Amino acid sequence: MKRAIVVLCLTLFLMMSFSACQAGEEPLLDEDELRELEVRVANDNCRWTERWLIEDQELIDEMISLIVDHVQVLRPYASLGFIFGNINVLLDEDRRPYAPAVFFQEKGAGYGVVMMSPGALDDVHRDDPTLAVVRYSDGREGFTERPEENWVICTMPAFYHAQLYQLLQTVTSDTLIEGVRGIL
Amino acid sequence: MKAVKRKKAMGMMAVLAALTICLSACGSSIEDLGPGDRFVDLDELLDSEATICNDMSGSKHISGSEWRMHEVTEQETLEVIAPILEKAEIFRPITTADTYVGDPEFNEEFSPYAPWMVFQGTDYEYIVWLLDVREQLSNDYIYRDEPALAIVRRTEDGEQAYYCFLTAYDYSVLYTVMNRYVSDFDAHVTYMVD
Repeated sequence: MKRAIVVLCLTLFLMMSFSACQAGEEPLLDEDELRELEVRVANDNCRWTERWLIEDQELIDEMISLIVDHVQVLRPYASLGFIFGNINVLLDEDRRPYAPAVFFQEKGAGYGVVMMSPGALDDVHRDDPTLAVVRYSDGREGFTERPEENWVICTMPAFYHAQLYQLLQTVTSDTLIEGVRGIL
Repeated sequence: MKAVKRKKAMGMMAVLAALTICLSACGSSIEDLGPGDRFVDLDELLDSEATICNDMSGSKHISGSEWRMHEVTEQETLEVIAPILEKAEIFRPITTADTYVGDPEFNEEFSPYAPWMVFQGTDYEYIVWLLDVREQLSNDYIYRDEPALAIVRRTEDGEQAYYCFLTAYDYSVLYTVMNRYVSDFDAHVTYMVD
């Protein structure tokens, strides 16, 4: 009986370890916190002058799930000059025509997830393409004098990166098309 | 008495193990398709009308209407191609940022080394692109072990579009079969023999 209990404890311990491994590291962004914030998307090459409010709960759930489950921190933003200098390398207009972003915010404070293109099939980092995450509290999206305090460069597994990228692209394209139709 | 207790303990452990397996299975079934999954249906391919396009003339400037599509009339060819495509494993969804798929004229490297196929079924359609074969089959290509291709499956309900991987072996066989199916290839071979 004792041996059985020992084996049972060992099994439970292994199961718990396995679950912990599956869960991976603590997510960068807190799911509950994101759910309490307003969701807006933008897609105009990092200017973000227009942000569309997203109210489709299914869409929001999908975005949050992809971000919380799959975004991994690569490194903090390194202050190599003005923020746009570096961010523009990632969002270069020729190579990266679109940079859809999603913001979770309230009263000028919140989080932004800025996508970079999934990249070509022969990219060295095609398996884990890049994106940037910013935390801000002053309505300036981290474009402050000390951007390294706000911006984090992240990666995502290619499959989920492409899913999130295309989700944001589709949302913004559809919204743009609807806007144009409205004008016409 | 001891044997009964041992049996009980073993029973509990068996239940525990079964529970673990069930939970794992439930967890994995929540997600739809993911990386490494397969989504090409062999029967659908075999029941299709297949056509291959591989314009070896080298012309990058011909319009879509001038592409030479070759209907696959030999079942044996389909029986080689279809099982290979069934083995394609998903890498990631194709996005609007991916310019490789679409009109080959947008990408100079696309043609002429980018054969593609259409499988037309009753209520579905597959389109398969081999992208830039020169790069995929280059011996010094960083990803030579897992050449990529694009596969799109369309039905009335929507579209699934993925970049997929094949093994280098399967990819080479697939390309060779598709290439050989085109009459221009024969002309090329004759020329080489001469």
